[in-house]
Amino acid sequence: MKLSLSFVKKTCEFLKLPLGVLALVLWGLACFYGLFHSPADYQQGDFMRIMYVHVPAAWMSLSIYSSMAVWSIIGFITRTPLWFYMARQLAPVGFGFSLITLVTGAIWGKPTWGAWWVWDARLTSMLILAFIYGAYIMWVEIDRPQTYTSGAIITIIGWVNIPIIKGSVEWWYTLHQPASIKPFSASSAIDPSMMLPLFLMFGCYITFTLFVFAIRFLRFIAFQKDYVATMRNYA
Amino acid sequence: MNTTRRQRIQTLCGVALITLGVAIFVLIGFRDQLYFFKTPKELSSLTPNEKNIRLGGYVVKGSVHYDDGTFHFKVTDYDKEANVVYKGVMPELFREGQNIIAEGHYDAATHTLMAERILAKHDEKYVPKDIAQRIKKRS
Repeated sequence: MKLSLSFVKKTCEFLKLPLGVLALVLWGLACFYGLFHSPADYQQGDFMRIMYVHVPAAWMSLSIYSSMAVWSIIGFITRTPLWFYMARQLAPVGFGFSLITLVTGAIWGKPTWGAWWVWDARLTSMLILAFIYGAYIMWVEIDRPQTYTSGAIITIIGWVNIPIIKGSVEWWYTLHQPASIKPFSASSAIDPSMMLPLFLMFGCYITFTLFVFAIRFLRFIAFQKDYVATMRNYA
Repeated sequence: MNTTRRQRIQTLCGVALITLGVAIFVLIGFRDQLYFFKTPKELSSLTPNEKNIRLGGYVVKGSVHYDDGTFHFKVTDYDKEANVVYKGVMPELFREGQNIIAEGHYDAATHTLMAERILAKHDEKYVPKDIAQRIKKRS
């Protein structure tokens, strides 16, 4: 997996503006369709609309973590720290999405279930994911080669939580209901009129993640250069 | 593939296998805790008078009685039934035929759960209001 720093830098420079604009446009469309141009649910009424924020955020927190795990594996095997640096830029976004999932979930749960929080398998494993994100961010902040390698190992080991999160609602009795959208399945439990705002928001989150990644990565590389130059001045 | 790379892949595989083993071990060991509630069938085989039990199931149609601030109803898993007594505010989604979870302590003598809290489950289906009304009108 040969990846060059200049390639990543150039791609980030080139894409950061279009990604940012696209994210903003998709957000506007998602809000319009989600709040105004889609029906209320027969059971939950307008409370259901928080799904358009909650569900894509959950998807993002899981897929960002999985990307971090894959990059950590590649970086570990090829001994190229560039992959670790890239994973590090993704982590805060994933952490933010996991927090959004937990908070919007609580806001949604109180009027529908009757509880802000329960310790069922789905909610607990999502909370653990947030903790793993937080621990990784703090650990890798130390910014030494050893902490990047050990951070990668932590990310890889922690990935075992992802299938647990996904499977928790199918394998055990939980308060959280099973998945409404199953990947690679023709039917879904969500009406098509509600799919549009859901996937618009998902697209918004993806472009936003890539936008933030580009900004953070460029800033990180610039900082490293400054740091090295500063250290040289001292030596 | 050079030796260092092969060593690293081996280390990674070892780490992955150990993690998987530990995860499976923990999940099987903590099986009981992972289940958020018991069904009425599982409740009937419990040791009597257990505190802090969660019972999950469907509210039996026609079984809900409300008198003097207390709800009495039955919960079923289409195998066995259990009685629930609850004094307090019901969540919005509570209705007959709905899936609920009752939390409280269980009295084996009367086969009743004295609930302190009721949580309403909802299924994974999202249907627009007008379509649901049309389906109701037809049936």
